[in-house]
Amino acid sequence: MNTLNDYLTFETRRQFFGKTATGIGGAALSSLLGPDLARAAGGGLNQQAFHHAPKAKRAIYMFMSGAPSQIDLWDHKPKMKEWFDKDLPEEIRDGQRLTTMTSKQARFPIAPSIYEFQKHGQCGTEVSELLPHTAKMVDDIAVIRSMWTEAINHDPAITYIQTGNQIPGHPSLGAWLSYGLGSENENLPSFVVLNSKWSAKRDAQALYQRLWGAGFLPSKHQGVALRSQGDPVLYLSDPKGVNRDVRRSMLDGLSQLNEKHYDQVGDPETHARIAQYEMAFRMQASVPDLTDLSSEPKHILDMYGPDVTTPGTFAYNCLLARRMAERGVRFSQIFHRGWDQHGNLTGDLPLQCGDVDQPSWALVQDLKMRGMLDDTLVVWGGEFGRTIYSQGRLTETNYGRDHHPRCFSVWMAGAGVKGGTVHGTTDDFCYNIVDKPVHIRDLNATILHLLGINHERLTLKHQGLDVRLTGVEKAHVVKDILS
Amino acid sequence: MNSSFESYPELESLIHGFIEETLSPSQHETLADILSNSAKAREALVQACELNAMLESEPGLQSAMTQDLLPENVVALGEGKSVAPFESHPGGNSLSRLKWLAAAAAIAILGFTWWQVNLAKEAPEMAFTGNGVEIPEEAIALPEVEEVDPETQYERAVLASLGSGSQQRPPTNFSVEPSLADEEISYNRHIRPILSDNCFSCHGPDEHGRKADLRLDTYEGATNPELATVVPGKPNESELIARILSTDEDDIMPPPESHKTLTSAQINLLTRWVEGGAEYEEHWSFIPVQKPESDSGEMSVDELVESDLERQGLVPSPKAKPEILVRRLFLDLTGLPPSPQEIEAFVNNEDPDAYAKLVDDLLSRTTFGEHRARYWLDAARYADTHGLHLDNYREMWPYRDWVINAFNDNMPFDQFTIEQIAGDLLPEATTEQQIATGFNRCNVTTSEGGAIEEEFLVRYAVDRVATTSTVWMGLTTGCAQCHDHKFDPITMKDFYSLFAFFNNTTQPGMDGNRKDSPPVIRIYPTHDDEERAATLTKQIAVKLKEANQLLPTTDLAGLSIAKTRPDLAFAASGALEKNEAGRFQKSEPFTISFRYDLPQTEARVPLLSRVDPQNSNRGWRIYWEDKSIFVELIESHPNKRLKTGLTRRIAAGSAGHFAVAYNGSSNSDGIVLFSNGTVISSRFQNSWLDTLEGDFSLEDGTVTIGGEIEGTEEPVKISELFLADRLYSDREIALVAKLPELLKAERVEMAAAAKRLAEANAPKPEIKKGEAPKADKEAEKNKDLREFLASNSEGPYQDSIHALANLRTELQQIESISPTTMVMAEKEDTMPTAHLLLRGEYDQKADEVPAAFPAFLPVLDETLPKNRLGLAKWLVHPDHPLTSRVTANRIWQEMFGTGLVKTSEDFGTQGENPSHPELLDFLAASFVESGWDVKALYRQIVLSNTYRQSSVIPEGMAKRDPENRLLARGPRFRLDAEVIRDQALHVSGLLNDTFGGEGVRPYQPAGIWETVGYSNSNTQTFYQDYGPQAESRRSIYTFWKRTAHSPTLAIFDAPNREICIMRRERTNTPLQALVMMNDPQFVRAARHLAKRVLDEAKDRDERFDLLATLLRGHPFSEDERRVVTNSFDQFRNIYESDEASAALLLVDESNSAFSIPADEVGSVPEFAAYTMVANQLLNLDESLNKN
Repeated sequence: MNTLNDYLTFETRRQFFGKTATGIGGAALSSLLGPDLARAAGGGLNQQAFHHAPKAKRAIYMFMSGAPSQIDLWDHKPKMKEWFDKDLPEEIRDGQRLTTMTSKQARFPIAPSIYEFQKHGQCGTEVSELLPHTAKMVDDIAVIRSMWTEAINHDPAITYIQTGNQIPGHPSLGAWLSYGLGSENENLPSFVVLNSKWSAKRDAQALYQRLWGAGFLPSKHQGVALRSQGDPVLYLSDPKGVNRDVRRSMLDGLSQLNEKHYDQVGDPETHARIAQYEMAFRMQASVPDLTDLSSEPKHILDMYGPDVTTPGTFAYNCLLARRMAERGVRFSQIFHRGWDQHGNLTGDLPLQCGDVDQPSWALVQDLKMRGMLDDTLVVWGGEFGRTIYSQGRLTETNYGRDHHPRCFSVWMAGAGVKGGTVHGTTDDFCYNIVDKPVHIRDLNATILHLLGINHERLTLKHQGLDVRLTGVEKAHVVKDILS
Repeated sequence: MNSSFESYPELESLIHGFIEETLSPSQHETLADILSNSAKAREALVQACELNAMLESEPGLQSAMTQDLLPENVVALGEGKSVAPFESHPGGNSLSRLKWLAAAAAIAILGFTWWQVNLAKEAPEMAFTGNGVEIPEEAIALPEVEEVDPETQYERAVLASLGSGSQQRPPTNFSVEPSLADEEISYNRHIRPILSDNCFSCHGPDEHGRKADLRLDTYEGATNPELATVVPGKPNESELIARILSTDEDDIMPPPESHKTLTSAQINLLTRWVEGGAEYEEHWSFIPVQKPESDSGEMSVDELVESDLERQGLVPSPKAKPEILVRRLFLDLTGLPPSPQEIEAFVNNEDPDAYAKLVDDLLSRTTFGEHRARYWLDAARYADTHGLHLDNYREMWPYRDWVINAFNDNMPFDQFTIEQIAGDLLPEATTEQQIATGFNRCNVTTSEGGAIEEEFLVRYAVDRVATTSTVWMGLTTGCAQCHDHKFDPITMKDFYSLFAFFNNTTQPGMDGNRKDSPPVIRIYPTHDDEERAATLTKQIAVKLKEANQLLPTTDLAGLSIAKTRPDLAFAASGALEKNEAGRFQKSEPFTISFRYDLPQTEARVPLLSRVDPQNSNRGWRIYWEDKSIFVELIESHPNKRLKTGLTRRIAAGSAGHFAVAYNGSSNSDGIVLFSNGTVISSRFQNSWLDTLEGDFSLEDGTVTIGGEIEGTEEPVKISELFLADRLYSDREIALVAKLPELLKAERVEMAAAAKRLAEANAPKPEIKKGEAPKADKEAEKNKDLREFLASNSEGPYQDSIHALANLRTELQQIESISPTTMVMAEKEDTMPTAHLLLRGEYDQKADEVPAAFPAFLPVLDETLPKNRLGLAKWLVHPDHPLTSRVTANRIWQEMFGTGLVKTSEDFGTQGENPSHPELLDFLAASFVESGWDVKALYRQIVLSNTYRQSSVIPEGMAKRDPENRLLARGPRFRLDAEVIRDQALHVSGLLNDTFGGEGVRPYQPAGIWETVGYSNSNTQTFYQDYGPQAESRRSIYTFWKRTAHSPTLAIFDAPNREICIMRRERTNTPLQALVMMNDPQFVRAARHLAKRVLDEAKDRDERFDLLATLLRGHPFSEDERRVVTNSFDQFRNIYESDEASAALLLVDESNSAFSIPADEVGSVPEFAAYTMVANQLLNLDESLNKN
């Protein structure tokens, strides 16, 4: 018994488990289910695996930083026309706290949207004239009009929706996904972030690396921000004067030296390092290939609009996101700043919509044409909403809107999402939710669910607690929008 | 979640069929369906296949296992299910079947109880239900083999991270122990981890979340006779045991929805524990430190480690080779590698005390403190920006330098603690002691528009509680912000009692985006500067008062404004008597400004003029007509004149301010009109003339104010008239337009500023408490007003204002070389108290509590004040059970990579138990006894044989003890980010060892800050600092912007410093390889390293050896030399055929000052080849590790 035990403990166990992911069992599972689930089963010994069959293999999240006005884009309130410049009724506001930017304002004059809304598609979802392209695909998307959060200022709110906590230090959504699902492509990171240029006034709200940080998860799970200037991945290019042959020779010698060192010291980490250098070498080829758009046909480029070939534009980033999806990047998040319209909304909002409308539509069409929309989740939204009342001067043609956490709109499309749906209702003032509220943690739970993860079970023990993205309060998957 | 799973009891036979290849297509589909819906089913399949394959290939193993599976050998597990003997299993007669069952048994034996436990729980009816044998009581005996142990856990995690190479080991809740069979069961060591993990969240200290009124974290609660949860000595009567063994979903504990399961060994442990009397112990870290005694007198680190090794049947490793050891020691104590000379000196030193002497030498170097401070600054979350929203610059570096100095001065740790937590409360607190309190000002702060001040003050205090608790006590208090802690005895009341210590600050909730958000102190370079600044401050106060008295009155009647000519300002009507006033000429600029009050009339209103009616109205005039104000410069009326007017409507009867500025150009577009201080585009009013050919000047004449108005007696009123012979700037006109209110405000402000300055005139450095220091801001705001007044008035006021400006300039000069630093300051009129906040919400106040120490820890000293000073002194009381343990553990972690308690931030019940409890207590006790002598603690550790062991991993130990928790070998792990960069600077001879000062900004790729930064932030744009003074400094001096910290450091796991970090990640990623190969900073290091060896060594082999010695402490073996030579030859061949590329390697991409001239290197291709060899060796695993 002891002999057998020793044998298994010290010799076999490693091979036994080592084979699980790639060995015969994995192959067996592959033959039945395809490689993804097979891989999942391999990791299934940990919690690092799917908890149920995923609808989405990957996700693309378009984040509108600064908080787009739901009133002017998604949540049509025609009755407000009659309320122009009238005060928001006290019972609607109901003592809710305001930001200190408008809490001292003498009155809260209602600013109806000046934009026309029309019903679109089979489903008849109403969309603002500012999003003519997005409007064409309402049958493919589910709009949630009843999103809400507690945070009323940008930094805490965006930290909250991205990490599940208003206070810095927690892992971001993408980091959790990378931790939970691992990578599909060993030459590219599993979580990639793309930051975009914007067209509205220049002083846009900041972003923070914590928004794609790993928090207390191992730092390999943090998002890799692809850059629009210089190397797309930091330090990717060899120095001037070093060509691929030189680098190859250098690495060959290096790995021989490291092997010799391993022979002397016996630390498995040395082997891991050799592998990392090889992967770095492969990334030096795979990343430029990713960002080389020369193979994209003209009709595809045209679909994304004229900005698509300019690195750093939202259109360019959307196309890149599709290319990454093709290459197995699990999660890409495109940030677009400049949506914080405290004033001059009618000057800036059309510019912002002009940046994102066509490319986000094109991205969904592009995925659809390739049959990838079935297993790619697409999300579009910001960190909170904006007020029905005007911040600052209200005129017939212009107004500003303050932060409004009590309701806002996001949309989702693709894998597992029931297109053509509208979820949740707000009151006539677009102030309070009257039906089917969706907290931001519910949104995150739903995103995880679609990717095959039970949000209550994707946890990490940190400071004695099993911490999860959705926090300690109960979160619910938004079943109504699932197909 | 797998609701469909339970409806597929056929899974077992399907898997079997799959292995046997007997499935029909429809069965195949069914199986695929189940698999796609259940992770557990997938696991089952994979395991079954693997085992099958393994058994196929291991006939010996197979027979051994089937042997073990004879009915009498069946090992039953504690889940009410057993592994069935094959004969009795329905249909179990094929060879594969047998193998499969055998394998299942093997899994069970090995402790992979998921098979049993999880399948049984999820679908009890399907998992090996063939013949569910009831387990006899005795079957619960401890299995002879170990439970799922740390190694297994590690293996699993390794599996999960295949290809990503994390060095982060998964958490284990056990110290490495091979077997429990012959060991006494200890509550702290064995039982509490199980209960804490699985039970306390519902049956623990949190009374609000407690279920069924059952409390399992105390003896009284567990043995409450009414519940009979635990009946000591009688497991059969104990509900606890019954419940964990139950198979009934409604009864079983932990409940299925918790997704927690107990392993059989855990169940056995619990059973044995109950049997043995269910003894409880207080948590190990909360009981007093007990210094272990040795038979031979003084105990030692080695004795404790070696006795433990002996128990495990292990022996320590031999001593590390001296050249390896010396590099390890240098890196650990100074963060820099030794020079080849230092290595040689040590290796050849035969003095038996050579090592101890070297230790003392290194402990006395400045680099010691620089290296130590780096660890501490992670814990203190020190950075150079505020961290939230704008993330503006914050001036805090004097605190960073204080920390470095404290380590270098070997400040005792108790003093180090007291000064940082409460330096400001010490009697006669020195400047240094106040700087130290910056520890609690290092938290992130905001000034986001719209943010609610009170909410953020709560967050700051919460952060301070969390940080203080973590750093000194290893306690995670965060949970208790909203509810009593689920696992540790810390209650919500304890939390807010701690919170109260930090709730009496004068700090505002909004940092104002200033670098010196109050309270701050200013640090003067010399005592003389400090005195001079105090004197100047005093004098400014006096001058302000004086100037205030001389300040012109608001009606301006008495203000005589004279510069080069006697221009005038007054409020009157009629004619100005001075002949020369307003005597303007067409080629010279002038400005006229005044306030008017128009009568109600439709007729033209003359406002101001200086014309000669006898001479075609030659001169200039200003009048109101047709709802506008017009200015005419007249050579001869009507044909030769320039006329402009305001485009804005000025209604009859209205009042306002008007100004005209003429630039002397003779063109009508040289006349600019202002209404109420803003430019209103003038309009051309003369259709045939926009240039004046002649002149409008009038030698003799008087300025006439007002004049006759048709049809009304009512006069026009003109006041605050300025006639100036120069062009006022737009800014000046804006000023004069609101001069009365500005003067009024200025008067109030000056009085207030004078008062403040007089009060702040203590000899101590100025502490700005509470309120934002408005004086400076206002001084800035009204600066141009004062300048205007100073340059436009004469007499005593002007003198006074000039004197004031000079004093201020001098003070500013001193201040510009005297940094500020943020400090703590206590409100003087209130006691530290706090309200409990329901759910932690800032506006949900409940009971008020005074500051107090957590109730579950000893009070230690009744006389301690209940403020931060008392808190600090309590923490460093010699009998405090946590502080010395946590600190000794953290220092051990710095040397060994992993602490004796791996969770160095968590010494609570959810943290890991110490691997060597006695050793930890020994170090902690010695530390306190030494008077908290920090250097002595480092000395004690590095002088031990344990530390000096070779880090070569002995046969089998990489598996058995991957993390070196048993200490059977020396420490080996990857260097931290800063050390990697500093090492490259050091070996290449570039390192600049300047001490301290403002953070520097060495090279980083473009766009890192800009991509994320708020456009108004003063750290939105990255400006690189150039020159060795900035680019080649140690990394501790690198500017730390929290929302985008140095990418090179970040990629090597340097934290962003938003929160307190007690141990860093240590990952191994391809991005790190890219940094080392391609970051211009490391390419530069390679280039200069190549130059160095070219200069210092004479031939190729010597150069290689020098490189190797610099980077890893010892020259190449013959074997290694062949590899390097081969690489070198390849590089040289390539570069000889491509000299252009070779030349590029001489050039520094980020700063050409670091390029190397071609004429200094001999052969360029050869130099390029050396540079690439240097690049290769900088990337060596051995160079990147401490060995």
